[in-house]
Amino acid sequence: MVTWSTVRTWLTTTNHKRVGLLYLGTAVFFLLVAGVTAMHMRLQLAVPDGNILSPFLYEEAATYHGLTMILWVLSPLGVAFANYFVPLQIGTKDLAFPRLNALSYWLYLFSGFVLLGTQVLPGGGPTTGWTMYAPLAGLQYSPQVGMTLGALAVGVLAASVTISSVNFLTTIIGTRVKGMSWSKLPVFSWSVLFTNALMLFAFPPLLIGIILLTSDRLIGTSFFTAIQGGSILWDQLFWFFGHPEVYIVVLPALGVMAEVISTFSRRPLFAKKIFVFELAFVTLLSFGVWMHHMFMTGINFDVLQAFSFTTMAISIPFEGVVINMILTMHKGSLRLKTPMLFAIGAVFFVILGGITGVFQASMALDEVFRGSYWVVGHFHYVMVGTTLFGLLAAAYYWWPKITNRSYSEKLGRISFVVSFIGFNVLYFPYFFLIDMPRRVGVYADLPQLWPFNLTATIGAFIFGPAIAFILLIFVKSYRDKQKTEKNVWDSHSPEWLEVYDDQSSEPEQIRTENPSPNAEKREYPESSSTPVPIIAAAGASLAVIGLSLFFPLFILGLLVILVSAVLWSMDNLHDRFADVVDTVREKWPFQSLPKEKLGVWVFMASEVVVFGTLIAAYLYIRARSDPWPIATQVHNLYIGTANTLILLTSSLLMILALQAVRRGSNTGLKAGLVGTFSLGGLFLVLKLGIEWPQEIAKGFVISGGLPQSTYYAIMGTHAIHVGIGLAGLSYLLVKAFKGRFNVQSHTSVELFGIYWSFVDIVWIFLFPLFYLI
Amino acid sequence: MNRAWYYVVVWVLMVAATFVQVYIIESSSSATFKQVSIIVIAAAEAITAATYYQNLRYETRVLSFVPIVALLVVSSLMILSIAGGA
Repeated sequence: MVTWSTVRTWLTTTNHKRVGLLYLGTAVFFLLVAGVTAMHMRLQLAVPDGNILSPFLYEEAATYHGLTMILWVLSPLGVAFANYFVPLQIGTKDLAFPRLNALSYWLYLFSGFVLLGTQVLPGGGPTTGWTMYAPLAGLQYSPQVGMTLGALAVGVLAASVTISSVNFLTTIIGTRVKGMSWSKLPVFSWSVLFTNALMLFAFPPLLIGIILLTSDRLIGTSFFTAIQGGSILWDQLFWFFGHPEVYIVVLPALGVMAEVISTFSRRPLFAKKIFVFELAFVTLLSFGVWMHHMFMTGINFDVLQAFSFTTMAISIPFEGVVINMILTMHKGSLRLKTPMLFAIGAVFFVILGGITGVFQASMALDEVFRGSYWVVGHFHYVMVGTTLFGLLAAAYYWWPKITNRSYSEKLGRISFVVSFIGFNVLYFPYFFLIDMPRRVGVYADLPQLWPFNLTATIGAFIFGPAIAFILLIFVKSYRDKQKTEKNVWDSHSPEWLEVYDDQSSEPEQIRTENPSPNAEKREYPESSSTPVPIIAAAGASLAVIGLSLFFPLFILGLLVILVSAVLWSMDNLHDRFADVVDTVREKWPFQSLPKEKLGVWVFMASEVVVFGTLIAAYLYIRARSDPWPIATQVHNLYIGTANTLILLTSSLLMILALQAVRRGSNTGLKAGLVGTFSLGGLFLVLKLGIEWPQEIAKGFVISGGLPQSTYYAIMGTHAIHVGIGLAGLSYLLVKAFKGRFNVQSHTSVELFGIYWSFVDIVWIFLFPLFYLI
Repeated sequence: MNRAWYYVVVWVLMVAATFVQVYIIESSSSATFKQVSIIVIAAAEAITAATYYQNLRYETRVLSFVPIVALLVVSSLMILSIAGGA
C-alpha cells in the first residue's frame, strides 16, 4: 500500500538511485505516450488516403512524437542509468550536487507535462515537427498559443539538461574514488562523460533559439521573420544543437553495449583505450557536421563541401566502435542471454543506420534523400534501433542489480526476437520510400508506395506490442519476487562487484586513507530529502505557462522560484548533503579544485556558449543588414562607458573582498561586497532606469526592427545575469554580516567572484559591439 | 608586491584600455582598423580579467586555457556560421 510517507520520500529525494528510478519510470511513461502517437500515425499511413487523423492532427502527432521521443524518452533513459550506475562505478556516494540532480529531474518531468498539455489548448499544440523551423514556427503560420508553450517547454528541458550536465561532468571529473584513474574508468562512465560534454555545449544554442523564437511570438521581434535573420538563422542555431543531440542520445547506449558485450563474451572490451578515443573523436567532431542538415538551403557551397567532408569523417569512429565490439566477441566465450541479444541487435542496427547515414553526407545524394522517408529510416535505425535496443540491453542487464530479482530468460529471448523482427518490418520499408515526403499524412497521388507503407504499419503493430511485452516482463519479475544471485552475470564491472555500493559506510579507499588536516570529512547522512527542487521546478513551469497564457501566473512562477532560491540558500548544506571531499579523490588534471569550484567552471563553459550564441546571432544578422544604425548615434556612449567603468570597478571590489576574507578581514569583506552590490545596482539603474527609457522615448523599441531586437535581447540577457548576481550578492552580504565567513570557510565568496567576473567579461565584449562599432 | 595591488594595477590598465577604445572610435582611422583594434583590445581585457579576477593563473594550467579555447572556438563558429550563411 502506498502511504503518504512513501510519496513524500519520492517527492523529496535527492538520492541518485531514486532519482535514476524516477527518470526511468518517467521516460517509460513518455515512451508509451509517444509510441501510441506513432501507432496513430502508422494507422493513418496504412492506406494512401487515410482519415484516422486530420492533416492538423497528423502534423501535431508527428511533432509530439519527435519531440517526446528524442528529448523526453531516449536521452532521459540514458540519464536514468547514468544516475543509478555512474556513482557506483566511480566510487562516490552520490552525484556531486544531489539537490541539483533532483531539480534536473523535476524540470524534466514538469516540462514534459507542459508539452503534452498544449494539446488541450485552443488551436492545439505545435505542428512544426520537432525541428520547429522558422518561419513555420512563427506567429504567421503557427498562431496557436500551444506553439509558444510547447517551445517554452523545450526551453525548460534545456535548462534541466544543462544543470544535469554540470552535475555529471563535475562528478566524473572531480569525485572519482582514489585509484579510479582515467584508464580504469568503466566504459559506460566514459560514454556518460562524453554525453554530458556534448549536452553542455549543444543545449545552450537551442535555449537561445527558443528564447528568440518566443520573443518573436510574444513581443514582436523579428529574429526569424526578417530576411536578414530568418529561417537560415534558426537552422544554424537549431542544428548546431540538433546534430550533437543525436550523439547525446546514442552515446550512453554505445557505452552500455560495450559493457554488455564484454561481460557476455567473458573478455575485456577489445582495445578499450581506442574505443574511448573513438568516442572522444565523435564528441569533438559532432560540433563540426551540423550544416549537413542544411545542404538544400542554398548557402555557401564551399562551406557545405567542408561539412560534407566532416560528415563522412565522423563515420570512421563509429566504424571503429563496431569493430571494437565485434572483435570483443571474436574468440570470446559467448553467452547469448537476453542482454547480449539486444546488444548484438543494437550493433546490427548501428551498422545499417550508419551506412544509410553516410550516403547523406554526399550533397548530390542528399538532394534525393532530403525530406524523404530514407532519412526517417536512417534516423530510426540509429535512434530507435541502436539506442533503444542498447538501452533495453541495459535494462535486462542491470534489472537484477537494481531489484535483486530475476526475470524469465525465455520470455526475454522471445521479446528480443519479436521486437527485432517487428522493428525491421516497420522501418526497413522506409528505405524504399524515397519518393514519400516526410510529415505528410496522405499519399493518394503515390499509390505505388502503399505496399511499403502497409508493411511498415504491420511492423508497427508487432514492434509496439513487443515493447509493451517487455515492460510486462519486468512487471511480472517484480511481482514474482524471485531473488537472483548477487553478481548474476559474473561481471567484472565495479557496480556488480559492489566495491563502492554501500550507502551506510565509506568506501574502502577512504577508510584507510588519512586525510590531510585541511580535508573536511563528513559522514553521508541517510536523510538528504528536501522539497525545494520540486518547488523550484513547479515555479519554472508556472512561469512558462504564465508567459504564454496568463501573465499574473508568470509573476507567481517567478515568486515561487525566488522563494525556493531563498529556501535553497537556507538549507544546512554541510550537515545534510556533504560528501567526503577532495584530497582523497582522483581528479586529474584538476587536483587543486574542490568540486564546487569545478562545478562553477563547468557552468561558466556553458554560459560562454550562451553568450557566444547570442553574439553570433547578432553578428550574423548584422552582416546581412545594410544599413545598420551607427552605434554612437543610437546609443549613449557616456552611459555605455560609465557602465563599463562601473562593472570593471565592481569586479575589482569583488576580488578585493575575496582577498580580505583570505586575510581574515571581515570588515574588508563586507566593504568589498557592499561596494560590488552598490555598483551592480548602479549599473542596472543607469541601464534600465535612464538609458532604456531615453531610447524608447526616441522610438528605439524592441519591436522596431532587427537593430532594436538584437540590442534589447542581448543587453536584456546580460542585465538578467547582473540581476541574478545581485541576488547572489544579497546572500553573501547576509552571511558576511552574520560573521559566517572566515579564513577557512569562504568558498561561496570565491565561487561568486568567478561568476561576477564572467558577467563583467561579457560586458567587455558587448560594450564595443553595441556602443562603438 | 601585495597581491591586492596587482588587481588595482590590472583595473587601471583595463580602465585605460576602455578609454583607448573610445578614443579609437572617435578618431579618423579607417573603419576596418577601428573594428579590429577595438575587438583585439576587448579580447585582451577579457583574458586579463579571467586571468587575474577569476584567479585563473592560480588554478591548474589546464583550466587557464579554458577562456582562450572558448574564445577561439566560439569565434571560429561565429565566422563559420556567418560565412555559411552568405
